[in-house]
Amino acid sequence: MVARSERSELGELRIANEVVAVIAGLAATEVEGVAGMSGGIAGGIAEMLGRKNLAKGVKVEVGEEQAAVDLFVVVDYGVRIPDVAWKIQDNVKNAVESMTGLDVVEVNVHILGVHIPPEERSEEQRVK
Amino acid sequence: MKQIDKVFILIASALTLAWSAALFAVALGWNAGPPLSVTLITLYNRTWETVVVAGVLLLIAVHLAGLVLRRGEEKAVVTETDLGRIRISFRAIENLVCRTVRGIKGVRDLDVKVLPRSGGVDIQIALIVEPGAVFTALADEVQQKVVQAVGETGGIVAGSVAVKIKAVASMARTRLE
Repeated sequence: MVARSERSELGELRIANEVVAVIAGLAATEVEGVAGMSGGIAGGIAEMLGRKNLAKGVKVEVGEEQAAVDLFVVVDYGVRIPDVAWKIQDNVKNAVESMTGLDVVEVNVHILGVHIPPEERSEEQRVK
Repeated sequence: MKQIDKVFILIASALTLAWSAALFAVALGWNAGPPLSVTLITLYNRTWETVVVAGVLLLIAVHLAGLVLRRGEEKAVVTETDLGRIRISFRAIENLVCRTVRGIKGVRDLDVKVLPRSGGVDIQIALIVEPGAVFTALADEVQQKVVQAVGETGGIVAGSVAVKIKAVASMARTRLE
């Protein structure tokens, strides 16, 4: 699906929705404290996506000149969640605007889970 | 949920939907061909029963599809900023509380429930404690650390933290599950 189509003297520029979603996903995961994007809840735990599935944790709505982004993320344990969320909003807005020229009017951040590092878990339970 | 589970559920939903549609068609007088009639024959000339069965199948199909397609609009604490909304899901708060409380000496295991409250959340914690733990002191520590963690890490006001001692763990810790 094409998010944006622009015509210049030399031809047409088209940006797919998927591309906007990947830019937003990458910008979000760059923020310190973000453990990863989330595909939703599975078995009571926020499902964390790998870096290959960045666009799956992102929902974009794109108009002629504006875009709204929803990001579903898991944060690291110990970080201050509101601070991380603000940084995500800022980073995503800057990245999408600078790369696509779209005006990002809304960046909604959904914190679906808190990631506990595996080494901490293994201390509590060595075998299953 | 794994991708393959989602695919199977969607297939089951589609098949149930098709079955439901076929039954509705039968109720409206459609005469199914030989292969379908084997499945549908028992309901011929029983319009109301057919409609009821078709309706139930339709509900099942919609429910199955909803399991896969519905994006978790689960309960969350919502904050508005200039750039949009920040939603911290109750599940994330539960993760945070679990990790915080598990680190307290004397706690073996716990269950956490987060409830909505005007301007924040209420938290209910059921503890399994180590033998020898002093309940009142432990409950005080749990309450303080949870309020602190939720406030500092989540920026969320915990209106109340109810602690229930559910059980005292047995002395011998099991090595395997």
